[in-house]
Amino acid sequence: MRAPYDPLDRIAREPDALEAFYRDHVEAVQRFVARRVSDPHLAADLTADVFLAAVDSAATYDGSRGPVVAWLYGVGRNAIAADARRRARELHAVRRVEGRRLVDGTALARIEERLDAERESRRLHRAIAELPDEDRALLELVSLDGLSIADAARVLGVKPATARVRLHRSRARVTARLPEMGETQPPDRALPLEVHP
Amino acid sequence: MNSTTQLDSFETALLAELRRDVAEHPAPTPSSAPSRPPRRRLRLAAVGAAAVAASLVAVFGPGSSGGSPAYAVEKNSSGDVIVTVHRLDDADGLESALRAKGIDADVSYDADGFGPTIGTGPDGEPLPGSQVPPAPGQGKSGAGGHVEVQGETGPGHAESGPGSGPADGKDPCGLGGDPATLTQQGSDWVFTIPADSPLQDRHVEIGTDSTGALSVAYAGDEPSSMCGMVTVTRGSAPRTG
Repeated sequence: MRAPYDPLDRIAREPDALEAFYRDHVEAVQRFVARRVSDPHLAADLTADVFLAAVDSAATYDGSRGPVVAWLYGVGRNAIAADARRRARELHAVRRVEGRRLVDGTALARIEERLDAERESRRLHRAIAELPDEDRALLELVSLDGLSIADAARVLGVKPATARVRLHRSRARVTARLPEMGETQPPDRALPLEVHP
Repeated sequence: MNSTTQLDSFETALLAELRRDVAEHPAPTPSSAPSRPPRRRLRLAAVGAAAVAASLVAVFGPGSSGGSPAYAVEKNSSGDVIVTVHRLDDADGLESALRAKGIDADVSYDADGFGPTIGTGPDGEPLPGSQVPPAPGQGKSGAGGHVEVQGETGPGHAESGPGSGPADGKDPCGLGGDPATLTQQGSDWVFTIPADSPLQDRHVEIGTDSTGALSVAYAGDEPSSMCGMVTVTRGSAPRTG
């Protein structure tokens, strides 16, 4: 059965298609965000940003190039990076949707639970922060977000073989860095070099 | 992924905002808007790695080469393929030259950026414990199954990653022996693929990062295993052998 948001660019035109897409992915997006930031209000803002970015670039999704969620993580990375750049320049651009304005007490508690659950992932996220951009993006998508190497390679526009080489090098670098960062034991699931598609 | 998942108050409110955004500013239908800007950007990202390498060569490329060749590829009488890399330049040319000798290779010097090389800190200083710890569950591996780190950081043996081999200490690459050698000779790298090496008909990746480490990687026999060699040049006396 085709999803109500197939082809995906319908989410940019039809509120119902968007809703179906949103319901299917809102948990994944919030976890994706929680693996990267620890502030609940920022997490709410970024969740809104990621979905808006998905709407804006829905026409770029090509179903033959991997699952929607892989594409969505790619969009999410860009949205979060754009936000970080804005904040680094202290530009407080007006958001189209202010996620944090929509948060009340109960929802805040749920966001915080999610942030708590992803604490370990955020530690790894920091550990790999020193890798070159391309390597970092790849390691994030594979070891943090659980994409297959093939899907992550598609998201980043590189060949799977290239991705494997980069992962290989990144893993060695991060493994060498972790002891310095006071990590006693790199978390096992954190650095899978080999992921079977 | 379940459409019946109960949304909390935040998720419900966000959904309402998003619905309103789309209702008020629907994207034009594809036929009336053949080229939305984001599409163009992702198209670029979709271009293959070879093309990316080509464009980078164009940007950083052979302008400084002064005409001297960046590499040499020769096949000796016994069939060994010997690659000498003088400069990290003209990756495409090297790729074609290798293909002409029957080696299927991807060559990309599109810097993986500027990060520390294996075993060295940002200033090229050895890190404490700079020997990359061996992967759990792997014994001493054969020459084909590890990453060799050479240079002043001290010889370290970084075995290929966890999961790339079984826990019995077997060579994770499964190629047996030494499928190729990568050494430094003066300012050149020399990469030799013996005539009987499995790499003669196996995909090889040659790459680097901007700290000057040249790496050669290839798929092992174990599923998904990636094996290879890295030479660290930065600040090190050239080493041969």
